[in-house]
Formats: sequence, C-alpha cells, structure tokens
Amino acid sequence: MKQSVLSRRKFLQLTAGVTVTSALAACVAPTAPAADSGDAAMATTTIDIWAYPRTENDGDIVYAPLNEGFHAAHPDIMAQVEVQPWGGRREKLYAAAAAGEAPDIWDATTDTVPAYITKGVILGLDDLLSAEDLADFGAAEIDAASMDGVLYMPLFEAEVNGIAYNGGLLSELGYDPATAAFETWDELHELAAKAAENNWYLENLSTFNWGEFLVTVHEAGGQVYSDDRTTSNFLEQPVIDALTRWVTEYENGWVPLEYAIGSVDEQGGLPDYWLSLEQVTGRREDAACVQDVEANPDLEYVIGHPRSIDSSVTPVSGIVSGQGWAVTSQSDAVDAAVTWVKYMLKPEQVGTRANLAGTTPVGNEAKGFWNPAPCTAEYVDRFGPLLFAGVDTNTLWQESKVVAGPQFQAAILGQATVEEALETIKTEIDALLLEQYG
Amino acid sequence: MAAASPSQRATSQFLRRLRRSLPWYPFIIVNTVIFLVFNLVPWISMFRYSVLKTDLLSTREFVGLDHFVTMLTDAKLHKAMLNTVWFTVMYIPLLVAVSLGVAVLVNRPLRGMKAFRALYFLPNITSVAVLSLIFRRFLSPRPDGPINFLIGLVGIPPQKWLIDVNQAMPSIVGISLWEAFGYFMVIWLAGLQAIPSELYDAAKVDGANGWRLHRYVTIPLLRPTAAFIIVIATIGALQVFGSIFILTGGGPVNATTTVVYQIYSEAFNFGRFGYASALSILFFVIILIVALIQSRYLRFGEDIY
Repeated sequence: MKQSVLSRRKFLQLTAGVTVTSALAACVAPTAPAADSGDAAMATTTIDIWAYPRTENDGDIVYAPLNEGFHAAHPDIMAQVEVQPWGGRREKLYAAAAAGEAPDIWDATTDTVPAYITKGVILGLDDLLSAEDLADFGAAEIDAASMDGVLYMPLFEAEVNGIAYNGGLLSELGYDPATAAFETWDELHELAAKAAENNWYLENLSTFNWGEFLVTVHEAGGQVYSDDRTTSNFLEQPVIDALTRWVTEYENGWVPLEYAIGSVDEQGGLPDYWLSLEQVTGRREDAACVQDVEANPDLEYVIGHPRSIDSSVTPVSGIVSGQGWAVTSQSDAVDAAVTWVKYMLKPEQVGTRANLAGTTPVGNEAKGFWNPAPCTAEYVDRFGPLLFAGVDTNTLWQESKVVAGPQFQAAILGQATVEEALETIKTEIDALLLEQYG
Repeated sequence: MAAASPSQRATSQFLRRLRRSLPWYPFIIVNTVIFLVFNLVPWISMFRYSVLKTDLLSTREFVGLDHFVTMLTDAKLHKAMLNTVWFTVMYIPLLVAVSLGVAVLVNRPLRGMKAFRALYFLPNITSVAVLSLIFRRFLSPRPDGPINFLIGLVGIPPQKWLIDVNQAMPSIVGISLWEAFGYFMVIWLAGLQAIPSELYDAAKVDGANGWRLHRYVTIPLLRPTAAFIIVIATIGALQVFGSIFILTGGGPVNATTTVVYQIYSEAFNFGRFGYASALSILFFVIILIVALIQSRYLRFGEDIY
C-alpha cells in the first residue's frame, strides 16, 4: 500500500512553521493600502483618519468621493480613511495613542471632548485654523466644539435632537396629530396616563442616558454644573424635578422597565417599542423621520415640539451634539492633517458629506449644498434653534453617567428617595470636580 | 582511527538530540511569544502602574502604596467583593451538581447520547454576548416575557429578574450556569469514563446497585475530577464579567457589580488605570489564596488509585 506523502511528523512541522510565520507576519506594522499609482507617486505625506460608520460602506459611499477631490487639490498628501466600529471607540483611541499608533485625525463626538483633553490626545486648533476657515459656523457650533475657549474639533455634522410622536397612536387616544403639542410636563403626563390604559409606553428612559437627563433638567429650567465647574447643582429644584419626573414615569409603568438597567455604553438587545408601535413619543434625530418609516412603514411619524416643565420656562429641544474632525496630539503630520481638516470644513464638502452620509451638516452656507428630505429639513428648522450647549455638555460626561446611573436606579426602584439619590451623586461628582478642575 | 573522547561523544549526542528536537521549537516559540505578549508584559505593567496615578496617557504620578490604602475605605469595592462572593457561593455548588448530574445521564450507553452531549456543550461555544442578549429577552420583566409567561402557567406572578436588586445576581448565576455546565459536563464525563468497570463489577458482586454504586464507587473515584472542577470553576466565577457587562452594567443599584467589573469601570470609565492595576493585584492575591486553600483541602492533583 502506498504510504501517505505527508507524514504526521512533517504535517506537524509544517503547521508549526505556518503558525510562526503567521504570528510574525501579524506582528509586522500594517502597511498602507495600495494607493493608486498616480497618488502614490506624488504624495509626500500620508495621514491616517479614523471615521465611524453612517452607511453600510462609508469607505466607498462617503469618503472615496470626498478624498478624490482632496487628492486632486493636494496631490502631496495621501489621506487614508479607516472606518472603525462605534463600539469601544474611545478605548481604542486611547490604546492607540498610548501605543504611539494613534491616527492623525479622527471623527470625535462633542460630549467626549473633555475626556480627550484630560488624556492629552486632542490638539487645540485655535492657532491652526483661521477665522476664514470657520466663517460658515455659528457661535453655538463653535461653542459645542470648544472647551474653555479653545476650539478642538470643528464640527462637520450636527445631530439635531427633538421630539417625535406616533401619529397613529395619538389618533387612537383621541388627539389630532396635526395640532397636538404636549409642550409641558403636565400635558405629557396626561398623554402618558391615557397611553397606559392601552398598554402603550409614553417614551423610554435609560438610567445611563446622561444626555436625556441633562435635557430633562434644562426643560425644568436648571443646569447641572456651575459655570465655573467648582460644584454641581444636584440638590437644586430643577434637578430634583427632573429625577422626580423620571421616577414618576417608571413607577407608573409609563416607560419600559427594561431600560432601567443595562450597559453604560449601549442598550443592545432591548425591544424597540417605538418601532413596534407601542410607544407614543420618543427623542429622535433629524433623519429619523425617513429612517424610522423605512424601518416600519406603519409608523405615522409626527414631528413634535420643544418642551419645558411649564409655560414659565423657555422650552428646549436637546443638546447641541455632533461630530467633528479632531487632530491627535500624537500626530507627526499636523500640517497635512490640518490641511485635510480645512478642506473637509469647506461648506461644499460639509454639505456633500451630509448628503452622502445621510446626516445633517453644520454651518449656514453648507446647508445650501445639502438636499435633505422635507421632513428632515422641517425637523432641523423646528428643533435646531432651541438646542443648548455649554458647561453641562462638556463637563465629566462619561463620569457623570457612571456615577449617576446606579443612583437613578436606586430612586426608580425605591431603594432611595430622589433627594437621597441626588445627594449621593452630588458627593461623588463634587469630589470628581475637585480632582479634575481644582 | 582514534576513538572519540567522552566530551566529543557528549557534544555529538547533544547535537543529535538538538537536531532531532529542532522541528518542535517553533511550537514552543509560538507559546512563548503569546505568553510574553499577552501575559508577562501586561503582568509586569500591572505592577508598575499599581504604584502610579495614571490614565496611561497624560498623567503619571508616583503614589507608592496609596492605592492599596484607598482600597481599605472604598465602599464600592467592598460591595463588589461581597457581590463576587455571593455569585461564587451560589454558582459553584449549582454548577457542580448540574454538570455532574447531566454527565451521569449522558454517560449511559443509550442511542443518541452523543447528540445530547453535543447539545449540552453548545452554549459553551456560543458567544457570551449572544447568550446574554437572548437571555435579556427571556428575562423581560413584562408579564408577557418568555420566562414570566412560563412561570405564570404554574401560577407564579411575573418577576422583575434583572431589574430587581435581589433577583439580578441569581439571574446572572443562571445565565452563567447555562453557559458553562456543558464544558464541565465533558470533564465529569472524562472522569466517569476513566473509572475501571471492574470496580463496578466488584461492587455489584458485593451487593451494591443503583444509588449505592454511585455513592461508594463513582463519587469517591471522581474526587480528583471534582477537585479540578471546583478549583477551575471558582477561579472562573471570581472573574465573572461578560454577562454582567452586557446585561446589567453592574446594576441595578450596583447589585451585580463584581470586582472585575469594578476594575473595568475604574480603568475605562474613570481613567484610573493605576488604581485599577492595584485592584487587579489585590484580586490576583485573593484568587491565589482561594485556589491554594481549595487545592490543599481538596487534595488537588493527587491520584485516587
């Protein structure tokens, strides 16, 4: 009988050889993707950009067309965009920075700027961008991307938060979707009580949704942090009112109980009662009027109105939040990186990018290049002017939600009173303020 | 021709042995590299960072043993330790009983047992993230949630499960049990199948049967397997993290915050990598002591026959 060509010994040796070679290959620094030969021949500087996905293939859909224009205008710079997953993005950036492997530019979120500054990964851009580069931006847009007067991440898109209603459910509850407004908490809770009779939820509230809590406090006419960041206002009436509202909604079963706990960073796996048409209202982003209806054609999407605790307080719609281009402190090609950022901040690029990614651009002139769905435009017009920014939105964001979340749970589940929970939060947060800001 | 001297013979023997074993060195190198990169280097870093106040990027201040002193008054850590002990105390006996019971059942020479073994092992090779998300749906606090619906059929009122301060940790224990029992079942099975059949025959001759066979033959002879399982499962239980991270985020009201979750939170939520490293050292020492005590009293590694 013919012997096998490959003996067991040879097979194992081969396997070991392949394993070692693979391991060594994996340890070699990654090389840049092959550029088109024309670009590669002319490019003298290569910059790496980390972006996060908005479409199913941002590399081809969003960045290939944008970079084509950039490379034509700046043939000496090779810009490589790597689309990273959203999950764990902060940790990955920190790890890369600590390892000296950070990209030159990344797509940063406004709420995380303070953490990036504290960790020294973000470069202040005041001296690198001219007034002309920022001419299209409004004061609030500059403010949202700045900290203590220094601009860190000029925005390219805004997430305009606002209120939407399920028109079908409103009709069944006896309201006319075209005129119903629910602009005060009393009106909202009247709606909640009616919805509960039909086993529908009013809205959903996650105890780790720090942004939502800030909006609730601002709806009550308050602010969580003092302007000089030396203390917090957790024991002030607007904050007490905000948490009391949350507790009331949980206690009455007006919001899904599942959302009371969960991961700090995401709520994966929880039922989406908004899309399953069991939730009357929700905080949605600008393009949701298109996306939600695509996801469930039975949803009758009604754009709501900014809200406040009562008519004596100016209503708010949400937080000025958005994405901006940030340059890493570790970049060894700052000039090239800033050149790319300047190019991408031009109104034409900002508007085009928003069209390609299905998002909302910042800036005035940029909106001229933007072709949103009519409902998105209406949404942005209605809620955009009543968004807020400032000290609450750029102070201890991550820490606040981690500290507050368990105490919100304590109040909601009856383990502590609202005041006890807020007192515990205040003690811990004030210690953090002292540690961070002195 | 002159005969080779003893030293030449030794050298040539050594070279021959080296040549023969040379092909196997790549295997050793792979493991050595993995050990160095993923174990030793982080381990050394952990000790280095434990005496620093650092977020790994911007600050690096030497604080000596301050972190270890802080642990004495860190109420969150004390709660996390109690939670970890609570989890382990619930989990280990249940795991041992369930996995042994199932192993005894699937050890019977019946048709289709291999399929059952594979089925029971399946949760172990399923991602903990997937399992957790499935259980999140099962453990919905709504009256029409799958498990609430089932218990409703026998007249038990709907429970809040993961949302309830008292039920959250037992729920996590249940999920962890589901994930792990198949793996330990396989180990029990190996132990069961290593028991010589002659011992059962002898016991039967002596009049033992049914439960008495298990009581006087199976269980005593499984002691080494039991010791292994208890030590390994305890180490795993003390490090529970995945399901808690995904399902409860340590809540509600810190009821499922374990030490490993606390370490994660200190490092990644608050950027206190120095303190997190010091916590890791403390926790390593605790696990080591527990494992040594268990090994000593369970006579881990000793042969039974």
